[in-house]
Amino acid sequence: MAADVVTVSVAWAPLALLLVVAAAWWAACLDAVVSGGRWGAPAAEAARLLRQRRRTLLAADRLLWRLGGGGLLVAALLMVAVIPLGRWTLSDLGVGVVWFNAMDVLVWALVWMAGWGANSTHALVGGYRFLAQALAYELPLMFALTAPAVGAGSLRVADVIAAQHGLWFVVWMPVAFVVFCACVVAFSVQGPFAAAAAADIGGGVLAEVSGVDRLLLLVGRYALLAAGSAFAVVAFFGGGDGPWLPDWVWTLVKTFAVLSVLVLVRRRVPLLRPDRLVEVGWVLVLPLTLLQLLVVSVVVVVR
Amino acid sequence: MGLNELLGRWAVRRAHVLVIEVPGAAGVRMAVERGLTARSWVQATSPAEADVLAVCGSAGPRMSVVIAAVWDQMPGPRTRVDVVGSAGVPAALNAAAVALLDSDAQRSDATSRLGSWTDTDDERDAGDENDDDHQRDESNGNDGNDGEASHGDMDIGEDHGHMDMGEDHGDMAMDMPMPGGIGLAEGGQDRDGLEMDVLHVPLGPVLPHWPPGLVLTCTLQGDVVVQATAEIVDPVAGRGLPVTGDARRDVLVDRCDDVARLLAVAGWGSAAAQARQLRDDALDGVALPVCAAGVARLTRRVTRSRVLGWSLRGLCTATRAPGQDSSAAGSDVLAVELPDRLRGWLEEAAAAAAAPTGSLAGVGLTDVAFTDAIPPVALPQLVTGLDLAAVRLIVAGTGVVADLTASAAGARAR
Repeated sequence: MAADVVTVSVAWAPLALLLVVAAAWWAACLDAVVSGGRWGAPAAEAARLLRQRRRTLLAADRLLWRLGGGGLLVAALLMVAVIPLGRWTLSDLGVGVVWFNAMDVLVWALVWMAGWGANSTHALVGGYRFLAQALAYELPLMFALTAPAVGAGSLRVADVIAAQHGLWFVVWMPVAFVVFCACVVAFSVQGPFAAAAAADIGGGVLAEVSGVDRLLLLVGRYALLAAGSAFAVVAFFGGGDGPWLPDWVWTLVKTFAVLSVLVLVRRRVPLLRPDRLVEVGWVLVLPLTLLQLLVVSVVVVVR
Repeated sequence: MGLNELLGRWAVRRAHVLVIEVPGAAGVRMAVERGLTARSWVQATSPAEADVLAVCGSAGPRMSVVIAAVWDQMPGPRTRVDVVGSAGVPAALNAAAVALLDSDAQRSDATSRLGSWTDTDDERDAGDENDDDHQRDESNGNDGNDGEASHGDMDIGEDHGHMDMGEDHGDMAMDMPMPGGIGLAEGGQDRDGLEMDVLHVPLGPVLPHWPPGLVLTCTLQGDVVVQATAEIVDPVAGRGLPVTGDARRDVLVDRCDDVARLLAVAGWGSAAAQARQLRDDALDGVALPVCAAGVARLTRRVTRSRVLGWSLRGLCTATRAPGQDSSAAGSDVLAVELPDRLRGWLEEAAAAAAAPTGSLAGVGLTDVAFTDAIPPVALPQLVTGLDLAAVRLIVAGTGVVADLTASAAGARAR
């Protein structure tokens, strides 16, 4: 079942970055419109932040602070690197699924550094909150990712896509899909999982950043949401599988669709408090995900 | 300059405004919030985010010091507007937009901040980055070398646990030289008996969705409050709620504002915006039956959300210390869970909107006084032992006013 993907040169990485930023842009625009704003709001926001000065804080850990802020976009790009756009991929890793997981764990460090580096109480509390939240979502996310890998019998993303020919994994792994989507919102620090950047602590990890630093953090959050949506497409929606259109178009269309649904749904839910989320994550969601994994494993063995 | 102007024009379409409500200026704050919505401007959550500082009401002597500190923390381009009456809001926001676009004034503002620049190790590091900043400074209309230095003045100790009053390092060990002259935090045993750093952090008076003028000085371990004292800066009698001339609308406005505040702190932005829209409708003179329908919609949405109940429930009972004097101030406030209080506010709003005449006696509402409010002295016992998120929810769910009797009297006087 060796899938035919073509590894393209690294010179195409800027295009991947462009696509990620375009998807992030779309998510931000959609978010603005459903919140009662205009389509141009993200453009105005970007102009505002490009015009605003950066801040220097007393005894801030500048290196970690800037790394944490700028790193989110890099993490999103590294996630996308293993996701084939139709036939082409930047990297045909044999352990692509694990790579994606490793990149989302990187987000732990990045958000924490963004909170720690500012040397400010509110930002630090934002960092604490993200770690508590990560503790709640990471294990369910790992096992939700395991389900498609077990279904395909491979950790290679191209194999996972090939194994869905005829029947997408979302059909018989719905629990893993829903859990995965929730976790994507969680590692993007968005919507109900945005406690680390909540208004009650003055914006948390965002409390002390201004100018381009803030722009990078905001774009990075949307980019992570976009990268997570793209991975949901290859892991659960058959990647480029679809009639009439070329496969790369299908990958993009599905990614934007999943991304839009995530943006629309997350508004409907209030903030989930991280300290209470841990209990739900471990007592309810984790067993459910394991049960899904058991079902998948039994199906694979019997089939 | 073409690009600079273009950026500026786009930027002021979405200026972020840090709204500071001085005690006794609730009506002005509401008017400013409405003005922001009308312009699609955004309310900032911290000084770092803000382009505009909007001071609602006349600041007293202590509040003025705080506002000056917050002003120093704003990165710029920045402007400050003082709004003392609701009628002045549109003009003030127009002036803010003009000031943000005035490149010459912004440039001289940035240059004037150079004077108070202190040369610390950190600032010397900052100098290395000026090359990176060069491009941005140009787009800013600056001459390229003041980007970092322009923030020097806010770095003299008032920037930690930001939005504070610049006194949070007072009781740290100052004899141990550290980067920037900040002492190391002391250690202490936390509630689980583990050694943890102790931080002294004032919450307020400038925080989003926070009672005007309240300063809650907390001793934090992690994000848990282990000790707290509370006071109101420059207290005044009454809250300065808007007067519509119809007691039913006054109640509707006040309760919807309360609901919006609690929902915002609970992190449900879209529902909070809905509550705020209801408040503004009531102020705008939208027919009361229409308001009532809106309240009913919001009530359905809020009561249906199990997630909200799950987030808010269990906070108040957790604060009741064993053997606590049940007659102590604030303990009756403890008895009501936050979701029930939220529903209570919505029910009162619905009752007010449905009341037949301008009199509220028929529906059991007598006054628009902040009946759930507690005095500042009652706050520490409510919040000790809780994490910051819970503290914020409890404060948003009770409201803290300087003097309960004065507040009620002020409300009745209208």
